[in-house]
Amino acid sequence: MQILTHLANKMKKSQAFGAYIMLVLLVIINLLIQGKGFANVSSINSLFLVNTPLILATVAQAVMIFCGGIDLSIGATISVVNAFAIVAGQHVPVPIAWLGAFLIAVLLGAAKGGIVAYLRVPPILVTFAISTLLEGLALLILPKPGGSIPSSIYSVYGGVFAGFIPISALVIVLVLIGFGIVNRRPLGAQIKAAGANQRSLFIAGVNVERTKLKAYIISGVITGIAGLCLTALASSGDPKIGNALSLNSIAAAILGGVDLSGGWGTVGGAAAGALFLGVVNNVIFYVFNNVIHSSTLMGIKLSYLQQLLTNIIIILGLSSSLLAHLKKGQKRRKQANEIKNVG
Amino acid sequence: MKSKTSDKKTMAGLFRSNTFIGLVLIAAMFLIGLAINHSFLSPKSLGNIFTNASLLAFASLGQTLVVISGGVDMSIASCISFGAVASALIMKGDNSNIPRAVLVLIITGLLVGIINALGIIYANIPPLVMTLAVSNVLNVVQLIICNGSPTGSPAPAIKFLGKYKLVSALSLITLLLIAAAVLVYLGLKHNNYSKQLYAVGNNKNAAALAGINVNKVIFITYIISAVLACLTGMLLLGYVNFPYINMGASYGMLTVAAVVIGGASFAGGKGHFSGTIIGSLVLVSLSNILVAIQLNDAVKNVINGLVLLVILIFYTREKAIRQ
Repeated sequence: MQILTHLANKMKKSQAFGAYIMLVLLVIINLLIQGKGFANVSSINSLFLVNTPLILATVAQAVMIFCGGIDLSIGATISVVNAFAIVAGQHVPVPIAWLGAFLIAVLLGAAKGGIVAYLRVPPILVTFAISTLLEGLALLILPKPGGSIPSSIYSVYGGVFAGFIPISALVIVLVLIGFGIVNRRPLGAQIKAAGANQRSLFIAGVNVERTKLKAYIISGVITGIAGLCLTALASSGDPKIGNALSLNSIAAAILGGVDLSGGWGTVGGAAAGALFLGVVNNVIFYVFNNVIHSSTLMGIKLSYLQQLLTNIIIILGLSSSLLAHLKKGQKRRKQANEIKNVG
Repeated sequence: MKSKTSDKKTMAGLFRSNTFIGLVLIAAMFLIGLAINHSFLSPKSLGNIFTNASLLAFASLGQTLVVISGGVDMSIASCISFGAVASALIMKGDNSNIPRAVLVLIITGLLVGIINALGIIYANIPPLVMTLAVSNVLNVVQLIICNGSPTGSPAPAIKFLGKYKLVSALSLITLLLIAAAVLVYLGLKHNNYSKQLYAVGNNKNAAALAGINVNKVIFITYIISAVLACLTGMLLLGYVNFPYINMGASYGMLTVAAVVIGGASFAGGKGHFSGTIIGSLVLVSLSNILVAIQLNDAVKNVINGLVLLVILIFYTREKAIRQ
């Protein structure tokens, strides 16, 4: 009991408290809509299966945002990883191809970090330019969707560990533990300090450029894993497969309580934010497929409506930091009133 | 350090100015184009370049204002696509439907601009991210209104506007652009809004302390940008003659690049429409060269990205931390 209250207190203090609460609420709503069908192992497994790429991309995005950056090319990077893994897999043994694809993501992370840290170009612009470049590169590697992977990879990725833990969820946990270890070391604090106030970090005697580069490389590693997970999930190649993940991951990170101005947030919260988006999409998909029984609604194709709704939800997700600001504003107004009263 | 204004008066300052670099780039592009294809500078080909550059400049006019205000608008591409598809759908090749089409486009632009500004001002979302998200929504709306396959055609008057050529090198669109450039030049010089725009771009807090309604300026800027982009879509439809899905998609990147080549700063507070026109000319001649050597779209994407990256590295470097 004591442990539980301790845990609850710790959660309450967490920067991502809101995200956890929202996620729990949404899961409850989902249970109410879909009934018992949502709560069994295979349904949970497929939820994680589908959303692991987004969750990992969001964690990678969060690391970038911590150090004061942002990455609009995460989606395109994942597309390149996917295209390379599929095409290279046709010529060399699959493990080598996948390792190569992973290394490409790490190298791209280092390249972005190098340009941002050492050439001092605003990250949002750099990664935007790079995303166009990479979208083209993915199309060059794999001109049209196709290809396949050995079925053993999919069956492992889609499998369940110890009877009830999805392998894909295990991947997420491993990544989170990995970043947790980094976070406990000085580098973790330095990365956030680079985002919060890089001048102070510089004066404290830390090499800010190198810290940023390291953060981008870590982010590249996680992006690479996300790309491989997406490849395992799709079991084939598509040069545009990841492109939507750039914006989705930013929205998810904001939902998870990560402050876009840098230096504030947790990767756990980011993952929760991504899972929240995933569950929302799950609900939308369920409603569109099981509640509405025609392919059009008011003469509009359902697939378009679904796209529209998903995109609007992303805007709402992006705006969710509004709630935090409102709270801050209330506090400030209260303080101002107190000062006035004293005066 | 010498200030920029005193730089401009010296010879060295002239060589360093963006206008000069842009003109050199255009000359270089023309020479390369001529080397690849001997009819690159024929009146017909030149007219083609000018017309396309004018269309890009129209699309970039709003972007120029937004960048001066310290933001960036990525919803321009989707506004153009929507403008083209929606106006074709409404006009149905009939002149009498033009007012209705223009009204719909203006209302859409108004809405898009307002939503963009709302997200940027009140939810503190970076402009690039917010406008990208809005553009995704607008792209789906474009699909919904035409149910996936665009129909309709431009009204004869719009077609005339897009197609008519005074001489082979000078189209009506180019003339329109020149008129617009003069208007914008006069407007940005003697206008309250323009002074406020530059002030907001330079320093929002200082502008607010000086009594400027910063939010209002940002709202107006994003609304102008979206409305102009929607109307550009109509003009593009007149030029191309038939609508297709995501017609304006390629303009998104290009408007940003044109504005930056034109000397506007992403930090805000700096830039001019004349520079953007030069930037448009540079980019359109570049893309015409790429067409002349017959590259596929993927390579074009890669080259566009590389060009933008190089431009950014040259133009938007921040100060070192130790300074």
